Amino acid sequence: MVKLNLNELEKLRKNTKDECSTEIIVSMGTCGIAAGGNEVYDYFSKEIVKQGLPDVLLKKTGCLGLCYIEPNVIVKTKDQPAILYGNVNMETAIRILNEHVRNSQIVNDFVVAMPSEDIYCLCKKQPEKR
Amino acid sequence: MNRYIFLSEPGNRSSDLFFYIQKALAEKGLDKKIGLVRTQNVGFYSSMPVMRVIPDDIVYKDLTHENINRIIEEHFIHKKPVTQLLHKVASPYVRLENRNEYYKQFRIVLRNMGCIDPENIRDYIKRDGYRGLEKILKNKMTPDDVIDELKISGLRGRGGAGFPTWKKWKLTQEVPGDEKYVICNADEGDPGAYMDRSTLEGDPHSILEGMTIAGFAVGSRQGYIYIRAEYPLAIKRLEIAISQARELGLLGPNILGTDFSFDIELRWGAGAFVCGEETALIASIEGNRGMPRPRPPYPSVKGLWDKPSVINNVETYANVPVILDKGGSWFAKIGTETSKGTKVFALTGKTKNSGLIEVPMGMTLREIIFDIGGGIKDNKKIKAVQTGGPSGGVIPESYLDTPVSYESLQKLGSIMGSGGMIVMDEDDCMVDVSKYYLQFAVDESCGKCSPCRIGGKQLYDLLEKISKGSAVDQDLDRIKRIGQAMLKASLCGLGQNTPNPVLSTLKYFPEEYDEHIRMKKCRTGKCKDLVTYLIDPDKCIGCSLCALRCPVKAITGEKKKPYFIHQDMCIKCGECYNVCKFSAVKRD
Ligand SMILES: Cc1cc2nc3c(=O)[nH]c(=O)nc-3n(C[C@H](O)[C@H](O)[C@H](O)COP(=O)(O)O)c2cc1C
Ligand code: SF4
Ligand code: SF4
Repeated sequence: MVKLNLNELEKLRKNTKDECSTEIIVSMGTCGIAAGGNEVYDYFSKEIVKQGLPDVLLKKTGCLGLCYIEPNVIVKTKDQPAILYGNVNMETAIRILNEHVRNSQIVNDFVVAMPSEDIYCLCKKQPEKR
Repeated sequence: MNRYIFLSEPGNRSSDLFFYIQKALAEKGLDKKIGLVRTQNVGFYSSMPVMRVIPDDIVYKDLTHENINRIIEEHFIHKKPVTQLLHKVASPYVRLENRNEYYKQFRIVLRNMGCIDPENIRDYIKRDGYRGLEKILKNKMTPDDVIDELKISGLRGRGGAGFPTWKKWKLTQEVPGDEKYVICNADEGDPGAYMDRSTLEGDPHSILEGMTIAGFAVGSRQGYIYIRAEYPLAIKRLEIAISQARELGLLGPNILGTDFSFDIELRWGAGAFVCGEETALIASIEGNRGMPRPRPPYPSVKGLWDKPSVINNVETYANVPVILDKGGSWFAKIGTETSKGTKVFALTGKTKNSGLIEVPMGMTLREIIFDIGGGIKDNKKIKAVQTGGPSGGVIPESYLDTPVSYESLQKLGSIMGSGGMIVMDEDDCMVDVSKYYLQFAVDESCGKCSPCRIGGKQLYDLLEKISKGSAVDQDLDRIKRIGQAMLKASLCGLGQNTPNPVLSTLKYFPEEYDEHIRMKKCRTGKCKDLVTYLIDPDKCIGCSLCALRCPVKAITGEKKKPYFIHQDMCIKCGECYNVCKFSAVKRD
């Protein structure tokens, strides 16, 4: 990568667009990994290839602070609010992929409310406020 | 779907309420437009059930059937929020315009958690990362401008003592010379605390940016992060972050094409608690044994390799980019008069929800424990909360309405510390808790000065005596005297603060000490030498449950006849006491 100068940083910031319409984000701090976040991540990563889902981006993130319900997974789709799932085991992961990611059906029962507001634009993918 | 209702109920069960709302929406023909989602909630415990409407981001409480009909009619059909039913919980200590009023927590340090991939610098940049640094360089701010901004913000060190960060930077800046260092203290050794680890793992660039800004302000070209080797994931992510920042020209020579150069390297610590003390930490980086030295001279004037060095905590640095980006006065609108901003706590112990939280300074302990932590597990009663780990103290239930700030916690005999917050319930014995912390301090004392080396051991032995029932009344005076001596005469913070846990429990729970000493009893059963478990033959129905549970097979008997505990074998684990459904096992 080329080193940035003073004006190019802002350009990079603006030009970094979301490449995919759907994101799956797995919480992978030490707490998430200890609770099984790795397996959930590996499952998604295999299935995305196997099922041919080029429009789905799989990401890691750090600890969300909700260590008592790790592993946590966030799913963002184009026209739904970001959904945070807690206590995601393999069974739930399969349901999240099949029902939510592929069919936009939120998997009730495992949803956790976001704990805090965001000082920078949390959940950019939420529909605009009216 | 163009709107969503997130319904949170106690216990996360499907109930009538869920189906009632579903039906009511269907009757109005709204079920295709409004999605209904059941959620587990964080931050609303005292007032469940509640519902959050997305994307309006409004929370309603008092969800009677009548009120639900009203919300559907007014909010969803006529698009007018029902103001009487709004559930606003935001802390009055966040005095920002346009802030969302439905959240208890407020995240500055944890701003990117869950939003960015820590191994991808672009994610950080996209969320306004490196904009604080960019502003400084673009607007040609001087080091004094940066320090002024920090002064306006009121930021104080998050590593424990709460020293104003701008003052520390100013001291280093004023020393002439161009060989100065910026150090990040990521030693985090308090048992029960992991805020710094999570921040480094989840958002490493925020630390790099904060340190780079410090480097600019004090005139340093080199930074070190002193991190314990037990944090391999944090180390890995920091290494990735450093190399990505170098590639983009955000670290290294001529940052962003300017003539400002700054680089960062990692230094691993072996995990000794005392190496978190700044002078011991510096000795450890220099390759010497990690032992504190007397201050002054302070590291800001004479630090690493005798050069002026700024040393700050991880969380302190994580605040800096936001202060530069949004302005010191923005930051100063959060928190109390003397304690600005937010504090991250690792909430653990007997709360229902344990985890990392970030709240504005000024929030009460009760709000933190009950509204965010969800209260105490198994409907037990809260006894106290411990802050500051082995250097802090306990705060009893009666003081839970104290707003959190550096001064208020200190006044109660505890400290803010780095952010461990351990909640204790009626099953926790205050003597046992103090003994635990003292054991830790004795193990971790470096042994350089005698008040700490000898005093700590003496204190521990006295507590051991109390917990065995062989102490006398005068021992309490001894504890106080030794504590005072350690406080006054120890060389570093470790020894000075070692007596805190025992002195504070003694202050707030004298009756528990009294029970141990005079009645030779421990009401919680934690002090094993002071309890016996006995089976009441009148109550025992001979179900054999306790005998099955006993890990050492100390209980024998015949089914349907009273069972018996063999005292010589019993290890006093209390399993039988907890498992008996007929209260036949007595703790005496
Ligand atoms: C025994 C002992 C252990 C300490 N451990 C830490 C630690 O793990 N992390 C930390 O940031 N500060 C720790 N400190 C405080 C540091 O000495 C120093 O005050 C702090 O790093 C300054 O940073 P701040 O101004 O940002 O708070 C410790 C102090 C003592 C006496
Ligand atoms: S107070 Fe304890 S840890 Fe600190 S220098 Fe003295 S012996 Fe060492
Ligand atoms: S206290 Fe523990 S060891 Fe003793 S009898 Fe009961 S179950 Fe057995």
